[in-house]
Amino acid sequence: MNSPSVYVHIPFCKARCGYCAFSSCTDMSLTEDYFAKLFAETDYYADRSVPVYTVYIGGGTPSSVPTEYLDALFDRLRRNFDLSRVREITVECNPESADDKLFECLVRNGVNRLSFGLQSVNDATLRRIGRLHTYRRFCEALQRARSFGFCNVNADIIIGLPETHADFIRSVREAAALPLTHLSMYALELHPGTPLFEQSGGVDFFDGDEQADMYDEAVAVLARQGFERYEISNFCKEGNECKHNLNYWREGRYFAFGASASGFVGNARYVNPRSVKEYMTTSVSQMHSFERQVIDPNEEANEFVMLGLRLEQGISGSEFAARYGEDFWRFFLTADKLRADGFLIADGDRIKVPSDKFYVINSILAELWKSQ
Amino acid sequence: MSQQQTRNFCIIAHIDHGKSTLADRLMEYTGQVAKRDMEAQLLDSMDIERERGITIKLTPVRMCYRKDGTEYTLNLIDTPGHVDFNYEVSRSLAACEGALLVVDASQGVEAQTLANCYLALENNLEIIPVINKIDLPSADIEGAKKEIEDTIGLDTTNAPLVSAKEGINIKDVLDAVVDLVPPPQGDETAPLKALIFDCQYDNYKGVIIFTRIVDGVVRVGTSVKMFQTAGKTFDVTEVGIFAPAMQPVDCLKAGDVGYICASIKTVSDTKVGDTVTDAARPCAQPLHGYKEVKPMVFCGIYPADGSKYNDLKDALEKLKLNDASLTYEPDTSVALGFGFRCGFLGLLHMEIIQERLEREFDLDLVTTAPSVIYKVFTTQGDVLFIDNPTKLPAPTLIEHIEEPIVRAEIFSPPEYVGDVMGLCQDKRGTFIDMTYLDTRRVRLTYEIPLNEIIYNFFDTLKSRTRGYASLDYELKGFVTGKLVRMDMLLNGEVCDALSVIVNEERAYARGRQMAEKLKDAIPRQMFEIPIQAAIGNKIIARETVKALRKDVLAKCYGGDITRKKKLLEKQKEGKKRMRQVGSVSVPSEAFMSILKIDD
Repeated sequence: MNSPSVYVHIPFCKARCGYCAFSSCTDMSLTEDYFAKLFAETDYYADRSVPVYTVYIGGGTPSSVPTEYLDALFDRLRRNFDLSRVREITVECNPESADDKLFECLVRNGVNRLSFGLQSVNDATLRRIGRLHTYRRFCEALQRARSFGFCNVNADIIIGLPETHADFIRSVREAAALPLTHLSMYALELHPGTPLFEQSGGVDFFDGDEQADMYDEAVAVLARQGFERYEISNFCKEGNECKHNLNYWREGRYFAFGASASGFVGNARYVNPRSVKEYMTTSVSQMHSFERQVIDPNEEANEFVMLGLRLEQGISGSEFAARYGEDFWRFFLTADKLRADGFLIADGDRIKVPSDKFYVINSILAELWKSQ
Repeated sequence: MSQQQTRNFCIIAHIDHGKSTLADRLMEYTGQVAKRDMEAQLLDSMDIERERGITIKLTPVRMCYRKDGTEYTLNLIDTPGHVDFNYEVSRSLAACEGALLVVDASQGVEAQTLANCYLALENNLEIIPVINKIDLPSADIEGAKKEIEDTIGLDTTNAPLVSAKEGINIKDVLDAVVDLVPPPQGDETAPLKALIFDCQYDNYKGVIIFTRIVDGVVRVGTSVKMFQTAGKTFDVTEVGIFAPAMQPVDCLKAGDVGYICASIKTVSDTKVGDTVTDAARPCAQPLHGYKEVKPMVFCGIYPADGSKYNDLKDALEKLKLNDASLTYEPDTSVALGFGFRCGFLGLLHMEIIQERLEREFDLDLVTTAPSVIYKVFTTQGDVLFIDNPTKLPAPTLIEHIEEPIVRAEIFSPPEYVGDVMGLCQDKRGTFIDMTYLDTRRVRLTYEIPLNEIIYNFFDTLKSRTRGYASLDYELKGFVTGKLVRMDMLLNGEVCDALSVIVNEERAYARGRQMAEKLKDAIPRQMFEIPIQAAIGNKIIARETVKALRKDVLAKCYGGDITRKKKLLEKQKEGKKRMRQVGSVSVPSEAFMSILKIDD
């Protein structure tokens, strides 16, 4: 088995954003108990047999909890896993909670990548979607981060927020000019029960065509600023791909801890109890079998393609054959037709989706899987 | 009870003239149904009948009525009023000696009533006029009576004046039935001779024969045979009457109306109109039976789920059992797979069958655009009857085509005459006559190609006249028309299930409408889809379904692959449910969308 990654979910947030449907929790009084449970979970599933490739602390807002907890968490991870050869440790931060104390903590724990939730540079939009920071606050946090030596920094931008097309492009333009190495750009998904869903009645603020236009425009703006798209929604300056996410997209293995965290260990995927309350009441010995699914090789091959084709460079035909014992073009009966119709490209050993067809990758995958 | 105390009768009425309500009142009055069990329109047992407020199937019921100290058995056989179900009417007439002619005092005699009345006269039935809805402020009793006398020539002096809705003078109707309908004249001692006027299929009892015993007696244990399937004999397991629910009795005798079960498992062993007789002592001659009806309207019916073909086949077989006017034969379509080409008496009949298949048999269907039957004269000198556009020979092989024309009578309030005439002109109608029946009603007579009638005529008529106009039509004959087959191409490939035969001049408009409908009904896909209407190689209309530009970009949050996979699986399943026309995935709704086009 190749080196696995480790994902840890910190569900706490100072406030819930208008679009958020994740497992998050604004009751900070639960912090103590939650971390105790989290530590017990990592103890129970400790595995020092293989070195860990990457670590990702996501949320929620990991930066919102007192740094003692983060220190303790990293102690725990170092005790239970072999972090000696770890290549990347990312922590998600929100601008309003990113202060010097936090950065000091992250530095001493070897964190070498930050991911900020920027979402928009338009303050009116930020207020409307319930974010606590302003664009100015974000710029200050970024500057402080850099002064602590963090030069590999990502910002998330959301496409399709309740703002104008021009507002969105301005966000992209401004973000691209900042000293960032990575940008993630995901389309807004309206989930029932969230304030934005109620506001919009569940109807996207921009339809699929408009979103595609916005993407195209953003891709062009970013390319001019040196940001290359390496995955449908992810852009980076040369060599700054997110290793942790690449591991997901390459059908790698990863441990996952905390409420709602999803892991892939051995031949099984699991998802921890989604709500904090349910997570706290589930015994750690049951945690990874709470929602567990064995992935047979056939299904793994499907996943490998589903995830790998999201990458600009696609998948390796020889790797597919080595992993699943069959030629890609034979495994998927509709693949040849998709290639003939221009939805798949064979480029040496690489099999890819042309970048102008990225937006319809779900249709392409459905077509591929159909032949299974 | 002897035949002297039996009366078999039916009710003839135009739609909405209150036939079912009157039947309900008669049953209520004779105590056949307790008031608390009364459900409006009891005889209309199918959900569709109650919802639409119309009678489709004839339904028998037996009532007991005492008059002047004598107990009488009255068998009422309800009949449908709509033009499409004429055939059903003729079936019930053959089982009766008398008929109530119900006329709405506010509306007078309608064309369809007249037609059924003549049918009844031909069958030598005693006809008793009944004036209904006398409680309405607009009731014109004398006018209605005069119309009956003038148009049909019946004496209305003693016609019962009733309000079925209010239950007024119901007794008069029952008395008239007893006094005026002649008792049956069968011979109980003669060999069994019984008319099959309807059938039903029951999973436990097999085929249930609805019968009128003309001569002889049938009881449990009698060995019977049918004339048209003479080789087989069946042992009667149950006989009974309609009270109105089926109720077993010891025997059925000459003059009785009831049912027979004889463990008949094969649906095709019984034919409506056939004669049942005693296998050991058969009667010499069968009854006349019914004349075969010719379907007028055709369409393809396919299961939405291809694996349900056999279920559809079974369902059609069972419907055919009690609806002899339905015809069907296996058909295949490139786009829709295996299904059936079905023939119907008219549009309403078609709708009813589709609804019954979906409701009673729980089937999801895809139906193709209705077609009429065309007479195609080939250059070889042959005459072909074509009811399926895909079967139309190549234009070079066709000398000319004739299409069915109907004589349509439209009754409308005078203020809508202009709209109605406009519609008839649009539909290639030829004006024949216009008559002001009174100050409130005009009768317009047109000759119109049937393929225009089946294409949205009725809905448009109703909408242009705010629902006031009514339509009756009868087949007049065939006339030569400039007819062509129009194909629909999806991404350059002909979709056979969408082809229609149209008048050449109408083709452009129709092609444009169909292309527009399809454009809305076909979801955007990975590539641009041209939708074209074509006559031969000539494209006459085009729309485009633009290529899908973006589908969901679900994020793999925290590595949650499972959620994303589920979304994709759903998308894949959705795709599998669609029909493939070349590379284009077409949802079932798209085939149906072209059936409803607003003019």
